[in-house]
Amino acid sequence: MLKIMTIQENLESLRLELYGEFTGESLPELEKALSGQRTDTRKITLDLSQVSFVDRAGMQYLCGAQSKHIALENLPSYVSRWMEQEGRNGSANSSPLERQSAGRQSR
Amino acid sequence: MAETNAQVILKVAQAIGAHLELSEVLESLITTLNPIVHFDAVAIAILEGEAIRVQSAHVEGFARQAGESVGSLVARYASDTKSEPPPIKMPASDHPISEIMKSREPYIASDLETERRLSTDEDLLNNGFRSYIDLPLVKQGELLGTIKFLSKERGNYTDEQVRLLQDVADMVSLAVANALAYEEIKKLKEQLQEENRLLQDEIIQRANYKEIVGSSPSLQKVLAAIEKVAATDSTVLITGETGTGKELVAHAIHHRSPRSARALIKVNCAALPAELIASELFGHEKGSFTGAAQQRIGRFEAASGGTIFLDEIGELSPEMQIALLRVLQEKEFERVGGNKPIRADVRVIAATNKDLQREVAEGRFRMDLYYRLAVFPIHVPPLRERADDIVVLVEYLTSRLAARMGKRIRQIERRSLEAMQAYAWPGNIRELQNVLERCVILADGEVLRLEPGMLVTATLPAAPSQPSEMKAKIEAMLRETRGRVAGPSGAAARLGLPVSTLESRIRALKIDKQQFR
Repeated sequence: MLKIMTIQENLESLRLELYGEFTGESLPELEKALSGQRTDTRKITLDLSQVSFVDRAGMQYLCGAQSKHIALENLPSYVSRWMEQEGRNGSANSSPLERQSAGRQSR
Repeated sequence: MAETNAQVILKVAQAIGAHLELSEVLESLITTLNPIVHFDAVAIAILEGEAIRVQSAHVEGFARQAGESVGSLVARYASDTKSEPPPIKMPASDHPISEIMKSREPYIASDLETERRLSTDEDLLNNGFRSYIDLPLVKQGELLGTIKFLSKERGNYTDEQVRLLQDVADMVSLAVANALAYEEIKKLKEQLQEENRLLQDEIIQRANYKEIVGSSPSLQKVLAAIEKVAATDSTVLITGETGTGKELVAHAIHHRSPRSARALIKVNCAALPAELIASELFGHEKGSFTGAAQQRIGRFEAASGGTIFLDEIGELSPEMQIALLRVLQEKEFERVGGNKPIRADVRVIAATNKDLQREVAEGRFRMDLYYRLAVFPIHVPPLRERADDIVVLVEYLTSRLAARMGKRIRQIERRSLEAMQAYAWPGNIRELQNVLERCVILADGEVLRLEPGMLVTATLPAAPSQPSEMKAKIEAMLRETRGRVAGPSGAAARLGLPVSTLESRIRALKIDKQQFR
């Protein structure tokens, strides 16, 4: 289960602190929190220091977020390693469902 | 008589209203009715699609034993009368209900010695019954089934007796509907309790392994297969060496399937004693064997609407292979000691570390069962073929283990990581986890490192690929590429490994790549 706390919100930046397990099931909640946010005019940061677990769908979402210039802070080391590996091997072979969940944040 | 009828109906209402089980309803009914209209037996049959099944029966002077099924009672009675037991389930066309459906009127067979209109009448006569009256059980306009009053005498039913019995049948209809609903609730409650117990076990088992971590090309193939098969109801056979994560693959299929809202129930076929496995899989009726003090549902029933995961399927005994084949073919099973078929709305996922085709060839595993299981085979690669995943797996497992033990590990020693990348991991991810668990326990500070001998002692005797084999393979490839590691025609690409992994292995295996240039 994921809990999202908005730590700092002003015209220039938005900082969200994530708590708990960041999995495919929690993506809609995060999408809701980020809906309507523009990364070209506002710096958006996700702080994952309190995240205890990230699953494949969560990891792929983070890959997509990074490519949309959302800053990721305090990623668990296995997650950043996994994201690098996914960048090397995964995108071409990832399944439709995974691509869908990874790409949902861009809508 | 009208007053007597009213009194009888009141007595019947009081008698049957006190019971929820059909057998008790019938017993109290016949006791109440017998002083007015004598019968020797009474049976309730319920429609099941095109068929009708006797759900409960009571024979005067023939006490039902505690927990005894209707089939057993009828068989015991038939054995006493030295005749063939009448069928418990039959096509509706062989039962008076076929006439009752059209007329909605009682069906009377006054003398079976002189007139037998249905094929089942012969069985009843052979069992000593000479007449019967079948009355419709209707609830809110829906025909549920019939109640049959049987007599060993010729039946001369007056119109008034038939009207009384119809009034009684109307009361029984309500009791039957309640009893059926009660049985359904009882069954669902048992299913929920069993599901809950099994899910508790699953939560404990899954505490350490939650996700298929890694993105290596060989793992991507498995993920793509999971994605394709998950949405279907097809049976899946997962193969792979011990410790490769076959159970995680089963979970991934279930959680992405339309059955994910219901449970995934696991059965370890190797862990259950041969004499208990039938009861574990299919459940048992009360009193079906010594120690069966209560009726219990099996794992197939607990998995209804969900998925059953049959791990180590290659260990099933020949008898259980036949029983499982029957479930897969007919989608039905019976509890041990029961005779009522139960529909199996279950998706089956099986797993084995054995070469089942070889087991079939050597006569230890049924070929027909193999083909029923291997509808969609998925092979999980060993860890040595997922070298690219080792670093991310080490970091993932270390973070989970450290969190569980309340330790803070910030770094993994580079030399240890290289040794782990170079190692063949014959016990696969399970071995990796065990090694890391020891490392985390032994870690004094924030750096995790391998202690001398950890990998050697972890090697299993039946290792499919030893370091010496791997060294020979790498040297052969370096010879072909003249010592070139990187690039499209380099040894790393040709071995399907990342350059960094191959370099680590070259260092750990003390290979001098210069000698090949």
